[in-house]
Amino acid sequence: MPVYERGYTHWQPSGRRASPAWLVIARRGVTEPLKRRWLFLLILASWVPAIIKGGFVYAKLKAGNMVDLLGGSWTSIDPEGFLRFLEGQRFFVFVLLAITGAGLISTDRRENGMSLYFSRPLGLLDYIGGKAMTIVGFYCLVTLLPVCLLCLFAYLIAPDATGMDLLLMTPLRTLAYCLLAGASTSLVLLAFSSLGTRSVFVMVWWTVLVQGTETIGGIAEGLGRGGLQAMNFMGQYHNAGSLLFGAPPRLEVSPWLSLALVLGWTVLALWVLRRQIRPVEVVS
Amino acid sequence: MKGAGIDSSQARITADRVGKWFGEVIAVNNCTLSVGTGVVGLLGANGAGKSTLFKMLAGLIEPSHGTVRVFGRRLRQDVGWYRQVGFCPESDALPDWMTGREFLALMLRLMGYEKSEINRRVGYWLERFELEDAAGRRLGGYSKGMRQKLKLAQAMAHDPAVIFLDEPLNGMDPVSRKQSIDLVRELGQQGRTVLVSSHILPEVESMTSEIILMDRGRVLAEGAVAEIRDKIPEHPTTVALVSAAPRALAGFLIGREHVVGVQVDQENRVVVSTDHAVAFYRALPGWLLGNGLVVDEIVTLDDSLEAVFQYLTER
Amino acid sequence: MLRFPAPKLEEPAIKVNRSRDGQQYGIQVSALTFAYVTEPVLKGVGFVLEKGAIGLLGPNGSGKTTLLRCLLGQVPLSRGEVSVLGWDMATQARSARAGLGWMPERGGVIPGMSGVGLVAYMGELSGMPARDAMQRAHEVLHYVGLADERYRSCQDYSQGMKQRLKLAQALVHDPEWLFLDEPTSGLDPRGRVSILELIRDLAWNKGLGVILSTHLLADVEAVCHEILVLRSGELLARQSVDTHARQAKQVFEVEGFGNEDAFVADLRALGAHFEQDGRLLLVTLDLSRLPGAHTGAGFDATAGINAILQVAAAREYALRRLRRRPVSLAEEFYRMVEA
Repeated sequence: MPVYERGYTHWQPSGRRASPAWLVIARRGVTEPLKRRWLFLLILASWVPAIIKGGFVYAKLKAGNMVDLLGGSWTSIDPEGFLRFLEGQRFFVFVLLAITGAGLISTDRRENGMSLYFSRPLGLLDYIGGKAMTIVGFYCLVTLLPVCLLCLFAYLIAPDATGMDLLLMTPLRTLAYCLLAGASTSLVLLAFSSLGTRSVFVMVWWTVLVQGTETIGGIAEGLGRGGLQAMNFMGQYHNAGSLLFGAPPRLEVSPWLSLALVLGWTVLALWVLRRQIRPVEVVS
Repeated sequence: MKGAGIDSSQARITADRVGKWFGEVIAVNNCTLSVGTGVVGLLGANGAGKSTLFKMLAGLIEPSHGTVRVFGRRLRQDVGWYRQVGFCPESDALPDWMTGREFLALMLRLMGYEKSEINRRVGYWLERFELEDAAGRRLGGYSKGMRQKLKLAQAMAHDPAVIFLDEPLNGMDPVSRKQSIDLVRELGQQGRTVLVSSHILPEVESMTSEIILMDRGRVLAEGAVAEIRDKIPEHPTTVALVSAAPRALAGFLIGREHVVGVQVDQENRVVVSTDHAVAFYRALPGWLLGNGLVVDEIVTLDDSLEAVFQYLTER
Repeated sequence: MLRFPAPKLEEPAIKVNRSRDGQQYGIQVSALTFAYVTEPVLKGVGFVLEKGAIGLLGPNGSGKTTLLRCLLGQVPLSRGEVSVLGWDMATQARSARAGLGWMPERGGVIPGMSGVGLVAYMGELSGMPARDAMQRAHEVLHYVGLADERYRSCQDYSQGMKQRLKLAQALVHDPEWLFLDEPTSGLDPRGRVSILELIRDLAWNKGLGVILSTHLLADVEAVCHEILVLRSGELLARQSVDTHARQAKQVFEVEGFGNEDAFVADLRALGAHFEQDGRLLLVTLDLSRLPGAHTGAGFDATAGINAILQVAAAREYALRRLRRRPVSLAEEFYRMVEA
């Protein structure tokens, strides 16, 4: 029986497949925070509106149209109703993204983690893409997942009243919306994260951006200057989403303008990210 | 009087049953030591209480009990005596908005010098540390080695009789390290007391042979390294001999008196353990020559500072 | 004093070969010139390195860190060529990085993860499957001495533990070359000794190439058998530890006690010169004046040793140390830089 080497040994590859770098980053970014119990509970709490909506939908499908008058958009299972639901989730989205996303790049900057990443065989796209996918993952947990479950639930309790449009098209629309809006939102948040070194500061900037612009926009609308709602950050996503869901826009701003704004700041975020991170990946 | 562990009536720095508590945590546990003139090294592993003791000796924090005296006085009460004390801290916090020249001039001003004297000293020390080119630039733009040199300069510029240096060579390149080591030795030879706290034992060894070793909050050893070595009975002296014919040499030596053990190690050296080191050293040349044994090297393995440190702090 | 003989580099066992076509490649740099803006930081640097332990020395601002970044492919190369493991770093840097390990000086930990989690994560990023990475992470953490702490969150680690963790994440993917930037920074004496032993084991016994960038010559002398010296962006020199010299004039280190004056006088009668270095007495002897010193190929240093032994025996001088003074990389370095 030989005695095997007890010190440093060389790696004998097992032949299993390795994942691409961006997927590794995204997977780790989602599973690590979820190990903390309070975050898990926060996500469960964010599903409460979905459960309430489920209750209303059940009541409507079983009891009839009387419930519509009482429930308003809670009972609606049209695409518009789901867009309103997504709009309603925006506070949970804001909080969850602040907690999980603010420190993603700023912590790496502070602890010199980026030099570890870029000594590995991965590039700028893997790094940014992986981190962005992390945030999109959390975004979808709070938006896409409840919507899909609601659609499935509605179909199961009343298959004839709902039809394929609800089972297939709405989830698909929601998927498209969440991926696109989620990607854009995550890039903006990552751009902030790449500008700071402490996640607290990034959270402050993020709060000003989301809550601050929403508040000012709301005041402007109340004063009759509805056009100024164009500055409402989260609002532009929902407004542009009305194109996808075939619903009337909620703001006094053209959905096409909203779409243009979203594209504009996404490109700006990409530019900032590239400017902030490339000097670590490739010095110039 | 020179060195560490000397008679306290003649010492520059003394600590008498000094202790420091932080809540339940005891950092320094009943230490008594004395330091005379010359360079003395203060050594210890992380968590041994070295930095806390160092700060108490320099007068930066008060002991929980016991007294620390520098020049026979308690510095925190006779604050004028701080003029005779220089301190080079480990932390890197310097005012980034000042230039090197301004910073050094400010430190000298705080010591009470007049403007002409300040200019003279600033000029001398900037030149001594080769910082004249950078003297007009702000500290924020200095490299780590340059900041370290400036910290050293402000510790010495006012000609103190007692100097405390905490990791003084941190961040310096090899040439600056050598220059700084030479400078520290020079200060010691001038009769000043220089207490150096460092983790890099080879460098402490080139500055001085007098040390104070701390472990678990207590003083474990004080004095010259060679003397301390001789007082560790559990580890007999080991001497390595390199020879072209190690086996013959080993066979011969095992029969000699004063030899406790002989080993031929992996690098083909003959390693002899002896419990009477002096007698062994004296007899060895005669044995080798008288028996036609040829050696290339005779080296005592464990009287270096690193070996002494290891023996004293191992569990 | 730790003693290090000439290195024996053993062939490693079955090992994943990360070079371009499976051959044995080293690091080849030629005519490397690089400037961040306009002022060149590296000027025409060129060398070829085989596997071994190489020290990279130079004053601040000499371009050491930039050179390491070039070797990692983190720098756009316009002039000169850098080839690591057969890969051209200007275009194929990512393939090469799978076989390189980097241990940064500052920071380098990702808070919130456990030690083993961080190392496994880094392994996966280097192209290992998840289970392999986790297995290797445990093995490597045992090797660097963090077995007991590997489940703890790495922001709670002490400085010494963080250094070991950084070494572990550089080793997890079994690299061919390790680039270490000040590996003993902030460590206490025990930590320093143990990290240096690990690095020496990896370079001398396990077949890894190691480039050690440091300001501490003591570290270099403990681990490396070769040094590269940079100054102002130029490769000033390259030195190996010299183990055999056959000149007539030899310097011997002597340390002892007893009748010093008589001992010194007798040696002076043989034509010796003296110099003091700390505790050591440096005795320079001209071997051509000693009988029996001349051999076919130069002079034999043992004649000098025997001469000193004779004087010591005659004068009852107790010798603690007697040997031919080895060429010190430190002295070579000073001589080069101060020239």
